[in-house]
Amino acid sequence: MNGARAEFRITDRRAVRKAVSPEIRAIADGIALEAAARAPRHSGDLAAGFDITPGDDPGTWIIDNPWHQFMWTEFGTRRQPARPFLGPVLAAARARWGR
Amino acid sequence: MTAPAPVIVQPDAEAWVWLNLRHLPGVTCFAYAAGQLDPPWVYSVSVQVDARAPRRMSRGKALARERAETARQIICALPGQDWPGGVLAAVTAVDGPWWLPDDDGTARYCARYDLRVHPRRDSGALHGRGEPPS
Repeated sequence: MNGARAEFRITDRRAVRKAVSPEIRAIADGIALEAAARAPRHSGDLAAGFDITPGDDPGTWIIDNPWHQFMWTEFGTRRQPARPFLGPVLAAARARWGR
Repeated sequence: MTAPAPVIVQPDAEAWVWLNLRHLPGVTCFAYAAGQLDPPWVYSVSVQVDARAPRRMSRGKALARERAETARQIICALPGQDWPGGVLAAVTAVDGPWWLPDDDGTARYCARYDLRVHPRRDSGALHGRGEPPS
C-alpha cells in the first residue's frame, strides 16, 4: 500500500536478553558439567564445587568454583604444571557459539 | 564406495608462538587446547602465556606486568607475519594479562589467547581431496 508506514516503540530494551536467558543458562550448565567431568580428582571437591548464578544483566550467568586451589590447578604454578580443565571447555564453546 | 576423509596437517602454532617469545626473560607459554574447525583445514589453538619476575625484586609485580604486555603485543602482531610452518590468520586475547601470583609468591601475570591457523597452500599438508585457502 503506498504511503503506509508502521511505527514501533521499544518498551523493554532488555527483552531480547530475557528471552534468550534460558538458552544461555543451558549453555552454562553444559560448560560446568563438562568442566567438572574433566577436573582432576583427588577428593572430588573441585569437580563438585561448580555453581551457576545469574549475573547482573539479564542473559548473563556466572560459573564459579570456590575450591581454594582451583586457580593453581587450572593455570599451574612455578612448581606444578597446569592441568587445564575449564579452559579447553571454554575454548570449545567459543569455537561453537562465538565469543 | 566412499572416499577416505582427507588428512590435514595441523600447523604447530604452539612452537611458532614460543619461537617469538623465548627471548623474553621470565616468559613461558604452552597450548592448553586445540581443535579442528569448519572448514576442516582451519584449526583453533589456545595458548597460555605466563610472565614472571623474581620475588626478591622490589618492583617484581610491575616487571611481570611489563613482560606480559610485551608478550601480548608480540602475539597480537603475529597474524600476517611470514611463517614457514603455516598461516596464523587471527589472534584473540580471550583473557588477561591478569595478576595471578604463584603459590610461593612469585610475581606472575597470566594471559590466554585463541589462535586461528591453517596450513600453507603450497605446503602439501593435505593428503586426499580438498585444499586450504591461500
